[in-house]
Amino acid sequence: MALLEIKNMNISVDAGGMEKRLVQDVSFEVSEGEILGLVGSSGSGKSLTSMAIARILSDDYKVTFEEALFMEKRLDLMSEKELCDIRGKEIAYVFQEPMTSLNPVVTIGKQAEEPLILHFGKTITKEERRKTVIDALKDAGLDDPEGLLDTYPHRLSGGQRQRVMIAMAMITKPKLLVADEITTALDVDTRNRVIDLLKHYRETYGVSIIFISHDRKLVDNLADRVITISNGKILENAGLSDDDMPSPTTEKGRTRQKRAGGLDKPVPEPVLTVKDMSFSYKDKNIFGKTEITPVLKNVNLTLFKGETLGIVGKSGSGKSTLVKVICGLQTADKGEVTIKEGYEDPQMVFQDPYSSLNPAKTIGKILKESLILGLKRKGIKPSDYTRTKSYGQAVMEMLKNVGLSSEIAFRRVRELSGGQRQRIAIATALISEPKIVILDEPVSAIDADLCDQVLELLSSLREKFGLSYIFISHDPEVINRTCDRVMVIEDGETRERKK
Amino acid sequence: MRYVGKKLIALLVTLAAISFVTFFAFTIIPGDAATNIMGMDATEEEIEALREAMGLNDNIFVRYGRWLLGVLRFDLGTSLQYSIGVSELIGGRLKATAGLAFESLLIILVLAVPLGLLSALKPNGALDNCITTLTQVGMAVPQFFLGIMLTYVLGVLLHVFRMGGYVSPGDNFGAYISFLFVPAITVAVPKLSMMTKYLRDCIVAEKRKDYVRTAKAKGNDAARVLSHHILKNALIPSLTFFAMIVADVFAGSIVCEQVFSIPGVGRLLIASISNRDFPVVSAIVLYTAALVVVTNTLADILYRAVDPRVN
Ligand SMILES: Nc1ncnc2c1ncn2[C@@H]1O[C@H](COP(=O)(O)OP(=O)(O)O)[C@@H](O)[C@H]1O
Ligand SMILES: [Mg+2]
Repeated sequence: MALLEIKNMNISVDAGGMEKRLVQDVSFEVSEGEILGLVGSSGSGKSLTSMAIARILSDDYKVTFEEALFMEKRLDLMSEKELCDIRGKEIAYVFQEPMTSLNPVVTIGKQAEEPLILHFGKTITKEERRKTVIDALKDAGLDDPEGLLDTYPHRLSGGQRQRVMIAMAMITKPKLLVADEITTALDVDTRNRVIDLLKHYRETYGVSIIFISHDRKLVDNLADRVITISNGKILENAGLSDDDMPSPTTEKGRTRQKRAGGLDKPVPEPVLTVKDMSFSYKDKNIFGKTEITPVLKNVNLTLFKGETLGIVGKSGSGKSTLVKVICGLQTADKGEVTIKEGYEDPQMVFQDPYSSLNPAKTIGKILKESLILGLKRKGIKPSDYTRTKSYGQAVMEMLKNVGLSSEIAFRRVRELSGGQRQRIAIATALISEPKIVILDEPVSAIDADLCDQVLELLSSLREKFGLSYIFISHDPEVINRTCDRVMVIEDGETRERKK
Repeated sequence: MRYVGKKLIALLVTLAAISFVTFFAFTIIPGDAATNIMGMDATEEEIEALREAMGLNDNIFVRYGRWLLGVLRFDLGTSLQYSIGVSELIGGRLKATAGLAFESLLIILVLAVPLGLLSALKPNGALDNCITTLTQVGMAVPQFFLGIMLTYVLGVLLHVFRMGGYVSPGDNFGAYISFLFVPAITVAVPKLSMMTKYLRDCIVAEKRKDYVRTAKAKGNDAARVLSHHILKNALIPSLTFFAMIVADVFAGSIVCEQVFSIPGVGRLLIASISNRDFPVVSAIVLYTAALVVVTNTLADILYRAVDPRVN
C-alpha cells in the first residue's frame, strides 16, 4: 500500500481572467520508506507539485486532484484545520533557500520546537521539548546544539541553516519528508553530507522522502526511483533510471538501495589543517612602543589530499600572510598549523617570477640550488640523493615536466618569456618534491592564453605527483575553473564559499 | 552597551550643535529685544542702557555661554510678552500639548496595528481596499477642516463636546482628558492613516518571504503565522516610523490647538513669533529639535534591542 498516492493533479493560476495551467495531470505514488526522486529543469513545476501535496500553496493557485491519498486519508477533501494537523507532523518540508527559510527574528530553539508545540501541545513538558530539540539538532549533525538554542539564524552558515531546517522537519518523525532542491544552494562538500543525512534518516526512522532536484546525477545517486517532470507534466517512462523500475520492496530494489548507500566517495584525507589560528604583525614604532596590527583572526581551513583549495580575498585581506604562516615563515600568535606526516615542507609558487628568481644565475643553477636547499630542510644527505640520480638529471627531468626543453637550463631569467618564467617558478617549487604546493596568484601576471596553458600544466602536475594545492587568487573566474573548494578570506577571517 | 554609550555621546554633540545654531540664528535676525521692550518711542540712550544691562553688547560666544548655562538650569530667560520665565511659560503650555500628544498616540497605537493587520489579511481584497481608501482620505483631509467637522457634528449636533472647554489638569483631570479626546482624534487621524498604511505594506511584504512558507509547512494556521511570525518582523521597521510620529505629536499641533483653542506649545509658538518674543521662540525651537533627536536616538537603541540581526 502506497503511503502517498497522487492521481491527476492539476495546478493553475488565474492570468487576467484566463486560466493558466502550470501543472497538468500529474500522478505519482510514494511507498513507505522509499526515496522518490523528482527531476526536471528549472521552471518545470517541481516546487508547485511538491507544495501542492500538503496544499501549502497560496490561494492564488487553484489545485485540483482526482484523488490525493495519504495514509489512506483523502488530502484533497480535508479542511484547512485537518491539513494543519498533518503539515509538520506527518508531512514535513525542507526548501531550497536555507538563507531565508528561517524566521530572522526568532531563535533557532524557538523555531525548532514549534512543530512540537503545534502538534503535541501540552502532552510534552518544556524539558522534554528542549531535550527533543537538542537531540534533533545533534541528529542533523550540528555541533553544540545547546549553544544553538538561543542563537539567531543570521549567525549560521547556509549549511548549518539547512541542517536546522532538516532537524526541524524531522523533529516530529514525519512519515513523509519533501525535500525541494535542498542541496542546490550548498557547496559540494556540504551537499554530500546533507545527502548522507537523508540516507541516515531513511535508515533510522524509515521516513519516505520525495527528493527534488534539477540535478539528475544527484537524484540517481540517492533515489530508489526517479520520475521526470517537464513543462508541468510527468514524462512517460523517462523516469526509469535503470532498465526497469524496482520498488524498494522487491529484491532488486533492495540491492539498489544498498548500492545507493554504498556509493559514497572515499572519505577525504586531510593533509594540512589550520585551526583557530590568529596572527598579528608586531612592529616597534618610533617611540619604542610595540604596535600590534591584527591580520588573521581565528582562521580555520583544511586541505584534503589531492584537491585544489582556492583562497580568494581582496588585496590586503591577509592571503599572503596566511601563506607565510602555513610555510612557517611567520609564527602564529594562537592556534596551530598541522601538516600530516609525509606532507611536510610545502613549497610556494609566487606571482612575480622575475623578482623571485635570481637574475644573475642560470636556470640550471637556480633549480639545483632549490633542490639542495630542499634536501637540507628534509635532512637528506646529498650523497644519498645522488645515488639514484645526479642533480643534472633531476634538473633536466623537472624542465621536461613543466614543458620546457633542456636547453633552457643554460639561460638566465631575463632571456625567458613570461610563460617560461612562470614554468620555471613552478619547477623551482616542485624540484624538492613537495606534496603540498601553495600557488600565490600564479597566473595574475600573464595574459589569458598563457594563463590557460599554465593552469593546464598545474592540473596535470597535480595528477602526476599526487599534489594538493592551495590556490590563491583575487580572480573568481580563475578560482572557479581550478578549485574543488573555495575559502573566502575577508577582514582576516575565513569562511567557506558556496558554489 | 558600547553602542548605547556611543549613541548618547552623538546625541549630546547633536544637541550642542542645535543649541548653538538656534542661538546664533536668533541673534542675527533683525529686531532686538531692547527695542522691543522699550517700545518705538524710547530714546537711543535708554535703549542702549538697557542693552548694556541685558548684556546684549557682549561678544556672541560669551552670550552663547551665558545662555547655554541658563538652558542647562532650565533658565531660558523671560518672555517679553508675558513677563514670566520662559520655562515656566512653556511648562504650563506643555501640560495641554502633552495630554493631547498622549491621547493621540494612544489612539494611533490602539488602532494602527489591528487596522494594518486587517488590511493585510487579504491584500487587494474588499476590506483592504476599504481601509486603504480610508487611510488615503485620512492623509489628505486638512486638519482644520477635520477639526471643524468634528466640532460641528459632536459639539453642535450631538452636544457631547463643548468648544473651547479646555480645563487645566490641576483643576479637573477628568474634564481635561475628556475635552482633549476630540482634538486628539484630529491630530491622530493623518498619522494613524500613515501608520496603518505603512504597517500594512510591511506585513504584505513579509508575507511573501520564505520563512512564512516554512511556518505554514510546520502546521501553523493562518492566524498563528501572522501573530507568531510575521508581526514581529513587520513591527521592527515600523518602530522608526513611530518615533517620527511621537516627536511630531509632542512638538504641538499648531492647527489643532488653534481650532480648539487649546493653550498648548503650538499656539504659544505662533503668538510668540508674531510678538517677536525671541526667548520663547528660541526655547520652543530648541525643545522641538531636541525632541526629534532624543526620540530618534531612543528608537535607534530600541531597534537594536529588538532586531537580533544588528548586533
Ligand atoms: N503565480 C504564477 N503565475 C504564473 N506562473 C507561475 C506562477 N507561479 C509559478 N508559475 C510558473 O510555474 C512554473 C513552475 O514553477 P516551479 O514549480 O516553481 O518550478 P521548479 O520548482 O520546477 O523550478 C514556472 O514556469 C513558473 O514560472
Ligand atoms: Mg523550485
